[in-house]
Amino acid sequence: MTTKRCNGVARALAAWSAAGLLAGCTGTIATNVASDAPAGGAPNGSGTGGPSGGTSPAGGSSGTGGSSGGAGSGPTAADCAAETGAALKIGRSRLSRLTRTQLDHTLRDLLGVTGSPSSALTPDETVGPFASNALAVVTDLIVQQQQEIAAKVALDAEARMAQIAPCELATGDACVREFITTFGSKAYRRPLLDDEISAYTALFGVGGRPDNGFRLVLEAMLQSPFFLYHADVGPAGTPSATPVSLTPYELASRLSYFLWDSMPDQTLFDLAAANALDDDSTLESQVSRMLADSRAKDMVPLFHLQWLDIGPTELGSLASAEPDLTQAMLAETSDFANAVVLDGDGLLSTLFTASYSYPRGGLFELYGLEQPANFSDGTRVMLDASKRAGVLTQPGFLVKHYRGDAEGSVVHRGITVRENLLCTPIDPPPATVMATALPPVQGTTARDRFAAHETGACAGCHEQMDPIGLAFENYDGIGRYRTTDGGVSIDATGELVAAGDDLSGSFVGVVELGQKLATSRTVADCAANQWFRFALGRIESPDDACSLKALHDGFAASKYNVRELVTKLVLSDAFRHVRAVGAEDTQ
Amino acid sequence: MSRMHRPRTALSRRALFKTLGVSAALAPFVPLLNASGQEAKRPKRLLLVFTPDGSADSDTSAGPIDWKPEGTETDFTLHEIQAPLTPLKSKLVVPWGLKMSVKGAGEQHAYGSAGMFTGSLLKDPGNGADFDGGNGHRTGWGSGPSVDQIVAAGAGPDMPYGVTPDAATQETPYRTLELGVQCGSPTSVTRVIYKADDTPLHPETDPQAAFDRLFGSFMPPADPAAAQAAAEQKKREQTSVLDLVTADLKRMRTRVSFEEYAKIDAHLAGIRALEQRLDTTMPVETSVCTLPERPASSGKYANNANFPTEAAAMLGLIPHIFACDLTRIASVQLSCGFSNVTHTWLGHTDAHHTMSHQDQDNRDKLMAIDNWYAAQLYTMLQALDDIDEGDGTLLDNTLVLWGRELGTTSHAMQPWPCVLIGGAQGALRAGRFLDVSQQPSAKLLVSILQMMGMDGTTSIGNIDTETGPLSQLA
Repeated sequence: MTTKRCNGVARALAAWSAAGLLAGCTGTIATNVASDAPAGGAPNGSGTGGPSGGTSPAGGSSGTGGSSGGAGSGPTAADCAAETGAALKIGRSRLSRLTRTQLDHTLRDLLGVTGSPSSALTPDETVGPFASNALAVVTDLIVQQQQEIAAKVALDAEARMAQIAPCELATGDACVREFITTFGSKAYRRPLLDDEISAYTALFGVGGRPDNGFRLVLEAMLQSPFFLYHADVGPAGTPSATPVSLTPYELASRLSYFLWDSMPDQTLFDLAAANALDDDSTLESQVSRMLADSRAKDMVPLFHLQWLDIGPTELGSLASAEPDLTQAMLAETSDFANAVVLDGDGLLSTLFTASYSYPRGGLFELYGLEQPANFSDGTRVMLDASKRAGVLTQPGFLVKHYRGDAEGSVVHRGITVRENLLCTPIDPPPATVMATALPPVQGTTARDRFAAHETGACAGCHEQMDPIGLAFENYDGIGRYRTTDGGVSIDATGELVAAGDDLSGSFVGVVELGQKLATSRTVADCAANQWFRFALGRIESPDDACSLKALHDGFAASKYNVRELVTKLVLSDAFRHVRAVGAEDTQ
Repeated sequence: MSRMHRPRTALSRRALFKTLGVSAALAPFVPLLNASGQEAKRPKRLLLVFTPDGSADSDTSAGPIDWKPEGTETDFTLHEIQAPLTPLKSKLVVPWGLKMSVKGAGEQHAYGSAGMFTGSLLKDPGNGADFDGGNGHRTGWGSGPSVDQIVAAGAGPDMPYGVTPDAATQETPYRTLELGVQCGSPTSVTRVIYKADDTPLHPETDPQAAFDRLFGSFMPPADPAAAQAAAEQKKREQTSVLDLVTADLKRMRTRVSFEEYAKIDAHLAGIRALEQRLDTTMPVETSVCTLPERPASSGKYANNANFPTEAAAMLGLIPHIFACDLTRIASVQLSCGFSNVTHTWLGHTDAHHTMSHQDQDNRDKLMAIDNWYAAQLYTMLQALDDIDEGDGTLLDNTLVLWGRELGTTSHAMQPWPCVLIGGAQGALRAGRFLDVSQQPSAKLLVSILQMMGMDGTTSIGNIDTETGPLSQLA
């Protein structure tokens, strides 16, 4: 398969700058020398400077992403109806290590640990825009960091031994065994084997005293691969090259790490123990229960901030200069996503069109509003509906995709919409292009300076991003609304070019852009794929086509309700099964 | 100021500990004495330093700057971008004009990062690794070990280590140490040190975590006998914990796909390194091996304003690390390709990389950044040179390579701005500026391998192979 190309411009090794500023965009186009993406699409990690968080559609058979409006060349209902039982296909799952937030949340729920022990850990890898440690092997440093975290958490937990252990550990072997069995089954997220219980009992004895023994047991459990990794293989206990159902405990963990970014609770463990989790109605009721739980309020912002590539790690230099304002921006988009998805109408369209938000602190000034008397953070505030509409006009998005100057921002805001919201990857620029910025000149706007992209080799790709980015020109580098740039009135006309029947066409400003996105099947299918990647920590493969079709169809049937999408995702074959061996990947 | 910070007279409360006499488990780690108690030859050390982006170029018609030193081979003046190193001019070599032996997927920041110290290709996406290598170019990881890791894997009489890494008893607690400051999340543009094909090594980026790990066990107990008992108990406990984790890893290995064995094996290797360290007695403070100040923590997320403090702290650990023989091979990575650092302390308002591509002439600002990095490096180098070792200084026993992932800010890969500093125990004939224009940088890497004791090595990496060494260095 090949990745989608824009107007035949070949991907090439390019002498190009990250700023994406192509005033001098001329020159010959080299032949394609970089490889195509592998089957299954290509995750596009959030880099440190280039356009990040981009994603590419799955293989041609899945009919996802792209500009086809979701019609695509995907499997038919008949195809998928036949794909059951032994014919079932799903993509491969990798052995993956807990992410930083998963570790923090798990330690919180397992041991009552507060704060962020994972601060001491090397940052996560990404799969698509989402954190997932599924690729690179661990290094000695990471193993040592995990050891240090385990030792510190275990030492701190000694003081809470009476609350954590189910009985008085000083009373002897019976209690020690009970503690190891019950606590261990939570840490390992499955019942311990007899050998494991024996090994931990012996380790407890090495401690000499109950508090020491308690600490050593915790240290070892928190370093065990059964704690640190998601290692799903199914009931046979050995990996299979064909899809098999998850064990009840694996399913409980997959559910909890998806919906809570954390370990299962007792209810899920009990359902797993009774082997009563893997049926549609139980799963549906568990999803409802879990989305109503406060832990879902960790998960929903985690998805949205990564989807929109508003990671807390890099909000430009603003994070250093204005840490409080930066935190307010992250909190605003988090509160907004929770309010819409968990507490509100749940509609994808609302995320792009709502004229309310949840500002706090310095954001009021930025919005040109007075903070109401007795205001408490997390309260809904109505904004000017002619200027603000959903996540794309929130300062978090605007600031993160600002690039220090108007020109870079036009390109990067446009690319992010294309890649993260439409799932249409933009090819890198051709070789020999020397990108240079056009200096801001009094009396000109970014639009004037961008005319250079409209011709020649640059146009094929830049027409897909610049006209989107130019619609954002009403928002400055910290997300304030403005009407002039360089002393000249801003023309915020934008256009979606070659974006499928339901999106292509012109519009004015981000409010109208949001309205277009809100009604697009392309955007909805892309959002479904992004949720899939987030839930499973992997990029969809062509083998996931039928799971995705069910997801897309179910999302559409719900009028694009994200809560329904999440439920359909949990009910999908891809979620409930695992294929741990990759050799059978179809191309 | 060159000799003002000589630490040899430092005699802290902890230094006194050594004179109290310690028992076997806490026996002083005395690498500098051989078996018969004679003063042995000081070990060779290797240090790689990375700073981001190329030398200041200009996208205007003003053209590129030429940072070539002025003068002759032995009588020369350093350009502004290296000027802070001038006091150490007699102990460095500027090989001017090298063409970087780098190539592969992605764009220059990415394959420059993956190739600069390895001489190896940055791979196309594959084997699961597939991420943004800059501007939407997708890449995998690099394809070969960096020069420091090659040296670390070997052993020999003229090398930093006399025994191989699999030997039961290691000469230092750490075979190598990778340190960094604000290096970003793992991608091909943010990693420069590779253990092997597909195996980037992440730097520790919290100076306080590095300090605690390396120097935490230096803290002297008030009661040596109690300390010994505690140390023995701790070793017994940790051995038991790690044994259990090892057993779990081996059990998990029987449950995962063969495609995941590498992950389990890497984790097992990490556990083995922890176990080995339990058998390596940690250093004891002496007049040479002194404790650095405990730095502040960098926290969870990079804070631009703290970059200078963190850089100074990380670089400041290096002389102590080498003097205490915690490792003999280290690297310090300051920021990463596409550096988002805004040098506000130099009055800048735009990030380093952003400024490197603005149309306005930013050469003065970009050179100020280069100059600033050189000054940070100088402080560390001078501290190395302030520590006496035998006839010379610690710096004389060390070889330092300072490199960057680009030649110029406009992505030319020649001339590579790099500097060699130190002596490698006389192997580096220093105090010279060499015009080695258009020669592949792989030659310099081969020379480094040879100077570190790998005499027979004539090739590195998979781009410019069998180049032999840089003959002008000899």
